[in-house]
Amino acid sequence: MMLWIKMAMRNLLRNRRRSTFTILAIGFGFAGVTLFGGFVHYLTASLRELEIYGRANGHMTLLKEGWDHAGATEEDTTFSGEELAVIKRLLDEHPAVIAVNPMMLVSGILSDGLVSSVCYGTASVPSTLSYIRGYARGVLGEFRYYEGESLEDDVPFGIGVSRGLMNALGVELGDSVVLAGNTASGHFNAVDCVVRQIFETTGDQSERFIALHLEQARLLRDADGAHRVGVLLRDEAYLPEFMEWLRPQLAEAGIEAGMRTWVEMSNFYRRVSEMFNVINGFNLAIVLIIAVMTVINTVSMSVMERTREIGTLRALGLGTPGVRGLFALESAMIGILGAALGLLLQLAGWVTVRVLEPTWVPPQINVEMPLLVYLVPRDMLISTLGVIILAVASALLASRKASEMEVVDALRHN
Amino acid sequence: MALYELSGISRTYHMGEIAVTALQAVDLVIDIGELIAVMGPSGSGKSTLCHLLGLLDAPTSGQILMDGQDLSTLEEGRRASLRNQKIGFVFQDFSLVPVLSALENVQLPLMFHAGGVHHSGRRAAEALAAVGLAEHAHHRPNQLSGGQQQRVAIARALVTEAEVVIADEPTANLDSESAAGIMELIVKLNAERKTTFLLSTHDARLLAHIPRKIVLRDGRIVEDRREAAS
Repeated sequence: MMLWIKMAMRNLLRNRRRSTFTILAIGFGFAGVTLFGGFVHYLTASLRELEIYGRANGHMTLLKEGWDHAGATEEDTTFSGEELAVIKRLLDEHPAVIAVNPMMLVSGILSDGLVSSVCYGTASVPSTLSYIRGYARGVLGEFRYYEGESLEDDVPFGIGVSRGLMNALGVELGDSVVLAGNTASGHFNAVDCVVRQIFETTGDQSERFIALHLEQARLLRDADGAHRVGVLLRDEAYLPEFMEWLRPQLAEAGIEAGMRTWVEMSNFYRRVSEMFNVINGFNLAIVLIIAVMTVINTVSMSVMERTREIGTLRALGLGTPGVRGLFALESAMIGILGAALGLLLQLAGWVTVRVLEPTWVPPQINVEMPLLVYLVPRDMLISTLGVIILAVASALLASRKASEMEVVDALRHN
Repeated sequence: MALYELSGISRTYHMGEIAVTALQAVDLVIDIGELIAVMGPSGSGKSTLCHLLGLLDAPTSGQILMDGQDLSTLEEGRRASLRNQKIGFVFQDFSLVPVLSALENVQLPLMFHAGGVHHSGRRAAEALAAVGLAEHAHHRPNQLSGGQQQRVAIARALVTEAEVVIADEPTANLDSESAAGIMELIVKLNAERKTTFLLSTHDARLLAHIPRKIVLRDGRIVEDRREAAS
């Protein structure tokens, strides 16, 4: 075997320039794809963290069974106080659950007395929100979600407004505002609030977004209970098993609830992921085509130059599969060296990004964030194996004709 | 004892619509341990006969037996295996693999052997020593003279303990001194090892050493004479 490897390596060195350019083409293509893939990983991981922790929706959300049906009534969309108590009791029983976040959705008009604007928002218990956000890792773990003070459990009138809403109303931190909207029974109601924080909207949130205390939302809507319940688990891996467990428990308790995973809840995550996966796939296809064409070209030229040598080897008893194997081995080496160079370039890119710390405004958060590239060992391994397999397949394709040539014809080749 | 038995062997090539008959109804018996020169002008069928005997080509009609086994209908995988185990080749232009050393070139046929061959390095070194090139084992072909390269090719042909070595114009690219050296080596190996040698040649310098001469013309054997070698 060593002789085969030596022979393959020396044949690569025989045409140093050609081999070098092929390896460079593979290496740069590899690095381009894996670096972009690493960036997509960073982006999707950040979006995931945002959905699960940043918005405190948890890994799974419980909703009333008919919440999205056309013409759904208040009763169809809201868990009552009794139902919520049963749900919390059930969830507290499960060891994988680490936080339960009842949420109420609010829409109404926010006014500072002079200017009014429509607004939409989510209400939850501030301490639960902070607790869940505390589990975020990566960039989001260090992310400051707002300017001003946090909402507090004992300050139910505290409210957070988005920067868009702040600009529309011309309010500042500490200003008093009135939030007006419908009660659960359809009457008009209003509550006094104080602006405690200004935040940037994220993802597909409206620019006129508010964050408020669950008790304040209940006061406005004159209702207890919640529209939805976010459930944070110790690990996402528990999710399928947990949902299997919860479904009969809810049915037994007479709660008509639907369960949605965080992915199902986040259209924005799905859209962005799909978009970047398409871009990534497109890049990958281009790079693969270039790599395959380059390897085929390299092997074809090598085959043409060495047809007589192939004839000699066949005369000495090397079979057709052996000839293909010889070129496949050379090509595998090109693939290995190309992938190794690609990995080095990828690491160099990763280090460069770490050192230069570039920033950008990502699609999910309207503030400047660090631009990162993740190193994903699984993707690196798959890319390496993919490059080698493709290189071998290209060589087999390119050497097929020569390997099947009549020996005498190969020997006569000049 | 017969190594080859050829009966009614013909080989016709098709070049577009033109059929060229390279060999016509050749009957021939070659015994184990013979040293034979195949002679004739260009286009007489020397190379075709060598290719057929070397299992590099198959006849259009007729039968070739080697050690009693019919070779005419073997599929390529089996032919490759037989070439590797029983037949050695020496080409006019030496045909050494340029990226391998002399030792590695000689080792090469052993690597093609099904399942590999133990001690292939030692066997290759012995074969190189037998042709007087032990000192040049690690030289690449481009570091060797023409005569030395042909010696390496002979060592490569013999390393598998082939029953027959087919040499196509082995001295055509060599000066007189080197050619004489190669011929001496062939005669010596033939005598010592009883390896059959079949040389396609029209080099008159060699013929004095060769006891059997087959002359081909227009694809037919026109003369097959045995005489005492000088």
